[in-house]
Amino acid sequence: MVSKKQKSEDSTSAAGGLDQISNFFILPLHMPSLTTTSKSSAYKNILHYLYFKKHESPKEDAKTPKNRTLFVLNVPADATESHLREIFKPCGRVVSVQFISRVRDNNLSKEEREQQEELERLEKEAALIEAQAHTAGTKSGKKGAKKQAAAAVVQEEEHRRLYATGSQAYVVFLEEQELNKALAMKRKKHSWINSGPDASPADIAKLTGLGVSKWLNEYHTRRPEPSELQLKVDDYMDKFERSEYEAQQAALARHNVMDDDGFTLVTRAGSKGQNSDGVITITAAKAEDVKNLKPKKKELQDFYRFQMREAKRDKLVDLRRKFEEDKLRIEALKVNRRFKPY
Amino acid sequence: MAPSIKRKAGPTPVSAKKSRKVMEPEPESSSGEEAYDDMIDEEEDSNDDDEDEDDEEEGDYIEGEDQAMGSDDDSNDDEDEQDEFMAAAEHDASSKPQNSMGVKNSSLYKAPTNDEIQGLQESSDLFKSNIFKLQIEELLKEVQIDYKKAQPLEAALRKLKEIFDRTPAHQELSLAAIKANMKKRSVVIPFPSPEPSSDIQYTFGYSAPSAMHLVGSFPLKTVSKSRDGWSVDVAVEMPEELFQEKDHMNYRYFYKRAYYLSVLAAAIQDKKSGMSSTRTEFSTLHGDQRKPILILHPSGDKSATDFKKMRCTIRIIPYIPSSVFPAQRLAPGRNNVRSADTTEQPPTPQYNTALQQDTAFTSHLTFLYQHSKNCAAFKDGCILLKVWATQRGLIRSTNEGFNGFLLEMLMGYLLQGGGANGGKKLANGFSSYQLAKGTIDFIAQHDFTAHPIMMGQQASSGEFSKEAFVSNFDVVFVDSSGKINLAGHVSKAALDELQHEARLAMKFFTESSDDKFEALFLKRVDSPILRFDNVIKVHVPKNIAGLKSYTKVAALDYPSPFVHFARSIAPLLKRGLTDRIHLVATRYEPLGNWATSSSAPDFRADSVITIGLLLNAAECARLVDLGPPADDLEAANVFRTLWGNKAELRRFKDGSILESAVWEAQGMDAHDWIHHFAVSHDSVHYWAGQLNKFIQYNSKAIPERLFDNKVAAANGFQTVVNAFEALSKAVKTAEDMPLSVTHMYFASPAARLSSTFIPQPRDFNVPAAHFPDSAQYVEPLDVIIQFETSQKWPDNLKAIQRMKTAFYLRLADKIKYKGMRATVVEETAEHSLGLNGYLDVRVAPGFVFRCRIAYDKEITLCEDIISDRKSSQSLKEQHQKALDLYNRHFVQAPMHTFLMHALAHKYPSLSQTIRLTKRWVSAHWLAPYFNDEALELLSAAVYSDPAPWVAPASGFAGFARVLNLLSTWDWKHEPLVVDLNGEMTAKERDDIRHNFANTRKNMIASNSATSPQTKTTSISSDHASMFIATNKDTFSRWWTWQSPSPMMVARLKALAKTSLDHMLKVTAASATTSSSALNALFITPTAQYDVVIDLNPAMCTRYAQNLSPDAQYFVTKGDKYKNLGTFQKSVFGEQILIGFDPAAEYLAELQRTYGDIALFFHDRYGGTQIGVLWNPMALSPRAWKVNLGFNSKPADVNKDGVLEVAKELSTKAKNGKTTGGSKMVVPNIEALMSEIERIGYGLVRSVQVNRDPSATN
Repeated sequence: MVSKKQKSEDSTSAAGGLDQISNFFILPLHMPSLTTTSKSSAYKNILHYLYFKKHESPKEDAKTPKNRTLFVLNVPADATESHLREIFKPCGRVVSVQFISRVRDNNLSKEEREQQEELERLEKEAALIEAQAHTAGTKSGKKGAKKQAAAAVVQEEEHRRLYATGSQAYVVFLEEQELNKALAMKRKKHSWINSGPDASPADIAKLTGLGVSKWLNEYHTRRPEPSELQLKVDDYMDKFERSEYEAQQAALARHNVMDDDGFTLVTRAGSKGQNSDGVITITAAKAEDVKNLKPKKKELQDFYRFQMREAKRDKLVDLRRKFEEDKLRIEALKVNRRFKPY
Repeated sequence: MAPSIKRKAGPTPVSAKKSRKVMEPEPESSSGEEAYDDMIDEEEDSNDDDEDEDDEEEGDYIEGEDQAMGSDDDSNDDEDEQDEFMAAAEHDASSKPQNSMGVKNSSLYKAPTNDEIQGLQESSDLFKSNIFKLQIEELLKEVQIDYKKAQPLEAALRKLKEIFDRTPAHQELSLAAIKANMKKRSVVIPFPSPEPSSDIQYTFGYSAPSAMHLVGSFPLKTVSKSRDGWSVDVAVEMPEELFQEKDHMNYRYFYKRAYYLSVLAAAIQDKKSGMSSTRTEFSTLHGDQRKPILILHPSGDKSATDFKKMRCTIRIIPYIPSSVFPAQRLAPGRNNVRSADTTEQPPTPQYNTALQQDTAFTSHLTFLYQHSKNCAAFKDGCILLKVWATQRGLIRSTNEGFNGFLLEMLMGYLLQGGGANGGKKLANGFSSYQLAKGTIDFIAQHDFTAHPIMMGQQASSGEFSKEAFVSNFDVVFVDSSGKINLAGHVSKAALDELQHEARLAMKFFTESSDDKFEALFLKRVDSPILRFDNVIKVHVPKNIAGLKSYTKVAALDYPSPFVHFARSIAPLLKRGLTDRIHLVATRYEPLGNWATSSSAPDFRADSVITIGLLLNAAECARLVDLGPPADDLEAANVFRTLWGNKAELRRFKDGSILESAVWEAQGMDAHDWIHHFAVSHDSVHYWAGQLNKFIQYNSKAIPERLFDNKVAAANGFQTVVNAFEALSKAVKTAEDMPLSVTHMYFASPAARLSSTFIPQPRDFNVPAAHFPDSAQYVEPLDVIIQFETSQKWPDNLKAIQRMKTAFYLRLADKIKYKGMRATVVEETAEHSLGLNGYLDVRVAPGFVFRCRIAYDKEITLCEDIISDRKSSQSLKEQHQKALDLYNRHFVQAPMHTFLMHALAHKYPSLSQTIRLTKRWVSAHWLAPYFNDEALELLSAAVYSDPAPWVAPASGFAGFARVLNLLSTWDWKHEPLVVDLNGEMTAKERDDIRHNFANTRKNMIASNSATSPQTKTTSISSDHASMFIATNKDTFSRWWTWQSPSPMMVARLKALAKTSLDHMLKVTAASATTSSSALNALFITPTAQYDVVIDLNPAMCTRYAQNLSPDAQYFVTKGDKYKNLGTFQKSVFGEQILIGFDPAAEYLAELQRTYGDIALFFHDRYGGTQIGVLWNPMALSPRAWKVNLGFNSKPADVNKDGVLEVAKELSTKAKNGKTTGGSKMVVPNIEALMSEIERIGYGLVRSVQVNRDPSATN
């Protein structure tokens, strides 16, 4: 197995292909050096290394179809979809790019992560639809929709997300050959951004979503128009109340209903801490009330001789224990030479 | 902690009963139970008595003595008893190891012996507690000397006697003759000034000493080692026949004494003496220049007389028998120094006592020896007392202060008097602890002026009457002869200082909740800037002898103008500063020793006197001092002489016309009293307000138009508080709200007077373009809104957040009509469950309050999910996070604000201390790692538990103490307990100690469990490496739980140490120092960072807060339009942005993106640099894997991106080796730097790489 991999590595590098590390292709990218000053010459010619290979997963996933997906590692923190699209453009048509940020959901289980992703997707869609609806009044037809879609892409560029260093991405190609083409990529200069004199406006644009403009953008996004926000809140509350109501109805429906086997699942209805079958209501005691309950009458103290004796013994034991503890503390202090006044 | 807390440091009398009882023979057969009974009976007795007799130690000395006799009998060496007890316990335990209870328990539960009961009891009665007693024992071991090594010393002393006896006597030599003689033997006679005039008629002689005595602490065994070593005092009696009847006059005695001493010196130095290798020096006795003494240092030649091992010196003190001069002639009111310059013959009390004290060495020794025989613990008591005093610099070798001998005499006196109703203050049966405490208590309480101490027979009238002493001395402490004032040389200021310290010590002694042993005995506390609120350095004027105050009359009793000057400072300051101060203390360097071959030194003209002031926080900022009414001519005259041209007549509101003095600035002005001494301004250096400029906007670079420090200082935090009140009113009265607002809490640092800068209003009507971008920052101030309770809130955390947004919207709409512009802000992503969104309200005259709604049900909702067994781990974690966030923000922060606010009002200087501390921490780029609240607590600790000092009353002292705390605190082993409201119970302290121990245990466990590979976890598993607990936070949970890491704590400690050292050095320097020397405190070294990112100041909105901003960023563009005051259009747009700081945004972004592999450092207050340290663990080459977690490159890639050893490796691989080479990766630092630059696009000006760790790998 190992030797096989090694062999392929040999052959590719000999043919001017990409180097490999543990079965991953290494793609060097030229990075711009904007202002760094250092004695080391390494900062003149900066290379970033992407690692990629064919995506292999036992599970079939519609979003990352087998044989068409490239698994890319070590994506730069400021990577965007268009960055990766541009890099793999020569190989073929890129259908989609999905980023997996490393840190964010570190401690979420897989299902939860999927859930969250799903949620995000839905939100995105909703936003798009909303935006479309917004402009629907003024412009209609395909043209308007197309423009909107384009606007959404631009918006995404503006709201750039940064990925924790060393994040991963899936690049999905339209066809399998295109993927294979990518895997057989030749060594060639790939630049992330052209800084320097020959920088095109497009290159400069790649930076605009970063830094100060990004933070300003975020600042303003966090402060939407009150009317807009009001709409959003109202909408959410509507939905929330509806779902609450539905849940309640569903619970009521299940309430005290005999199932096919003749059993009745006893469930709770009504407010928390309260149970009612419609006739009798049982309410749980509140925590504060329990606390304030009068303690039970204690037994007499110092009444029996054994009590006194035990109290005395305990007192002595206490004294001794404290004495022992004190000695230990002193020992500890002594070790630190804490008794030298000068 | 101390298990003893609840037991009172009870007085002994009670144990009289007990010890007698204990002595009763107990039948052998008595069962353990009976013994318990006995013990408890006693306990109860003693408890009862304790209650009655708390703090009444003075009263019952008779009973106490009774007890002493009792305990004397049964060997009251408690140490032995303890040992026996321990040995017994161990024996007991080892004899039955099979016991199921375990060894420890069995020894705890075994029947007690009487000895044991007594031992346990004793330490709680005679000593404050077990731990106190054990600590005292350890301390005594450290400071006592080893008498077993004294043999060479004794040999040396015998040898000395032999030398002195052998020295040939001679008679009647003239002054010229003896000077010549001595010059031949290269000894300069240490004549006191004024030197004898050459025309004197009397002659000098020598004959062998009539007696030699060991005096002082060595024969008494009360020696306590000190920093300067210790000495053995040898008193050499000069034969009576050398003196004539009139020799007590005009220094004749002192001249003869000086000559006698030089003969002794010459004799020792003689090559034939046998001790010539001993180094000899002259010095002065207690700093009295009249009385030179001879100091012998060990020769170090390992001969029989080499006492080097004792690490001491021998002091040879000549004296005379008391019979030489009639006592009457040296009475305090007599004049014994005549002068040609003046016909007046004022009393010369200083001169008289100096001579008198030379006659009483042996009698005083006998007195002390008697007490040390009668009172077993006397010696140890003396040592304790001396250690306490030495640590405070109270025992010093300048003439006006106290010395160890005086303290011993005082304790001796208290063993025979000084108590209430003429009784004894101390009893012979007292423990060393009680003796020392009793003496300190006496010092603290005794009114030395009203009741001067007269030990012996008291002459009711005549020259030795009480009145005669009182009118001639500052402090009166007359020995048993009734004639000699032991404290004749002591100044009132020195007594005040001693009493101040004694009162403080009594507070520590009686404090029940905490053990103050360390503060009392172990800490050195005499550093002026830590001890005093203000420190003044005065360079003595060159023409000191010509000062008006140094009159001819004064010169008679004070031959040294310097000493006179130094002594007169404190009383004068006290008169001028009245109740503004609690204490004035003065210090100067003592003369020191000098070689026998050179002439006696004198205080140099440029000597420095250090004056320390303890301020009365309530009064010291007063602007006007009121004097007497104008028609009281006499008093007005006095006032005018005191204040000079500062005094003026003023009419006040109530119609009275008073003499008054107006102070120029708030606080002290050093120069007000200068005219008295004709000291030039340059030679006074006043350390008080020099740090204030660091917590203000730099007025040199920043135009007043933007930030006016003077206005800010005058208004303080009141402006912002008023604005909050206005907001509060507007919100509470907002109409049409579904729920009404019940509470509004102002919970930002500004609310507790502790924001680094006093918030200054920003006029929102002025467009942003009128401000330079580098001063755009507007700080939002946290406010919490609480609504009345309602059932209508949803039961879902997310829905609650939305509901809050709805409330914000409604509220914004409603207060709009009250002239307050509000913006609803929606936060996304990060705090999805907890804090989400807020309302920014602009309130006149220009503050922004960031309001959040508190809804306490969130706590229960979170807790339900956390405690629900069905919820998943990640859900629990999420909710735990939300809960913590909620608690910190809505519960702890308002509480913290409330407590800190109260404390800041109690201690007016706390605010400054906190602000300086915050500024300092941030200036060293550590702001990202230390919470505001943590720093506030750290500063508060210096006030709530100021031991061993009093709480500071100036920001200068407060800040110095914080540095001191930070540089000395042992965070690994000690929790810092901050008692914010002074109500902490012993139980709470115990709990905290317990919690701390648990945290540390867990920390060690988790540290050892994590392997070096998992570097990220090793950081996050350490909790509260800076454990700061309050009674509201016994776990140190809220402010220092996650951050700082141990590394940050260590860094802070190192920085604090350097800073404090610098501060001490600057303030201690004798040369007049420019106050800018302190700037270095706030300049941080940058060389040790791997990378320093330089930001563009024009883009940093907080740049105006920078310590040394460049003025060019604040000037208007183009001189032509200066009057318009506009800047070029802001890059941030037209709007005023609230809390927008690109540098902070950048820092946060960096931490989010690279937090695992690097640390980022930044000065929050307008810093324009960010320091980066790579995590060294992350840098080492490691095996490649998919989830590596950082931007990597293959370890063996060349600069063109080609793997170098790929081929070589492939051959190796055939041999089955798969490790090394291209399997390994390292962080791609260059690419990381490129990323970091891109992320900060627009803000980053340049990046400086200091070290490339990957290159060295």
